[in-house]
Amino acid sequence: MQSAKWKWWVFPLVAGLLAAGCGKVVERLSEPRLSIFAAASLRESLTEMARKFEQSRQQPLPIEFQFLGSQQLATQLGQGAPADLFFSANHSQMQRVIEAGRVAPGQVRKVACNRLIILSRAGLHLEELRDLAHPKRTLVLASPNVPAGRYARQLLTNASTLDRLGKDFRHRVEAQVVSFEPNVRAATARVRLGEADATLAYATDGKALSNEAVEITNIPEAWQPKIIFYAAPLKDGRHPELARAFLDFCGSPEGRAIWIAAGFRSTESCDGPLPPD
Amino acid sequence: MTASHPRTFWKETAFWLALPLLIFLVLPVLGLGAALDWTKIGQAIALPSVRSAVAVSLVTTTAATLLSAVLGLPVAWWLASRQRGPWRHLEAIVEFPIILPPAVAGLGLLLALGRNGFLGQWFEGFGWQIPFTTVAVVLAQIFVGAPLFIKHAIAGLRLVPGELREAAEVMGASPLQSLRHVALPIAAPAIAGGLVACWARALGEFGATLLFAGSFPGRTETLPLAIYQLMEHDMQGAIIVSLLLLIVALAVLAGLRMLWHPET
Repeated sequence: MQSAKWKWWVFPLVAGLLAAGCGKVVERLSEPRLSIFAAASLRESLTEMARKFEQSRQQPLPIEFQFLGSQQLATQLGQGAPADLFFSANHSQMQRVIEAGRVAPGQVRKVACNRLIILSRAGLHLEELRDLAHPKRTLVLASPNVPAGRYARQLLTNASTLDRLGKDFRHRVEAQVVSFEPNVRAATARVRLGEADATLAYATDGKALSNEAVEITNIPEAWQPKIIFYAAPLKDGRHPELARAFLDFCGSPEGRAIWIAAGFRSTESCDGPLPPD
Repeated sequence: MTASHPRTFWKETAFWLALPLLIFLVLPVLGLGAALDWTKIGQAIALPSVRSAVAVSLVTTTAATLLSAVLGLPVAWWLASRQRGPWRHLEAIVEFPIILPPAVAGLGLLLALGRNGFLGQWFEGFGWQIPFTTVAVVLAQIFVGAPLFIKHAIAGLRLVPGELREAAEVMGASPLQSLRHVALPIAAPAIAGGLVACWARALGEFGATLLFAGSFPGRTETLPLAIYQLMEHDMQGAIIVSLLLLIVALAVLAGLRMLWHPET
């Protein structure tokens, strides 16, 4: 009976430790924290926005971010993931969350405008969009579900309407694609590593990577799709006033300065003709 | 009916203690089944992305399992006879990929064999590019699957009593004959189990494949990657493909159990 003697208290001890641990986790989870689901490309700008927002408030406020492809976030929100705010890189993914009943259509705001650039690995020296169709190019794109992937496709279709490039331009470029990534930052990571030659990414991604060994090639405005980032509070968010305050801050002069510094354009320019580079 | 004897008490309590985890392990199956829309099965299976993912998965897992067996058997044979002595620590090299997180494996393979990788650069010189090809998928699968095969094979080969091998040697059998006629027949069930384990692991591989080989329909998009993509725009399609893989897994399990417990 010697072995049975020490065993009997092990089980209650372990159970007790587990319960205490779980209690701590539940405690931390119920601390007020703003939970923001945001498109991967908003990482630097929203982190800075959160910092400035916290400075402008009296008490410190934990804000936690989930940066993924907008379509991944929309899927999670559709499955009921708890969040306070959703920032999407296009309207279709926002629409999915509206259809899931988690966002009220009237609450959706335009946040900023973006445009596409060619991000290529150092030493490639691409001059224009046409260079993407070269038979030796190794390209990666965000998958067609991802807003950036859809915008890229739109851009290639727009460019195909020009006689100079040819109606099959989009197909010739897509023939050089070797992988479709789950979000645009995964695609830019491939280029940074030198595994892929180039990708079509946001101008803001290019700005965020300006210190890395990559090259940025601009694309004429005539071919750019209209890229608008949207944001909305979640109907069942736990901190609705805070969420609205954060969105107001994003639209304030201080907030706009942060968007512009990151390479976005203000929402006014989304509607009218885009200014030249 | 209270148990007066401590042993009976623990036996009964054991059942209730075991129940939560058992239920938890069955939950994913129940979740998939509950969310399934039966009317959409035909649609989903006909999707070109599903068909190409099935093709990619079948081709790559078969190639990976065969290569793991051919390359792994010599390793298992060599390690099986090294139970004592300093060489037995090499077995850790074979066990290490089993516990390594797949994403780490994928990133590591990319950094080693990618265009700028320390080995990959050399391949580049010959014009061979490994990432983003079906070969990369097979390599990732071998990385995660071969160690499993080798472990099973080692266990099987160690079942062969040393005296039997010595007897074969004494009677004039060459090492190859000894392997074929003495060791392999005894180790066969374990080796078969190893093949199945390797294949199942290769079939489910996700993280290493995504990072190393990327995802391209018909070339590198395996079934798990296809589920990941489908989830984002066609949830029913994802559920149906998941159930497909689940049925395959159940069949594999049934087969394995018959191998391990031929009496039942």
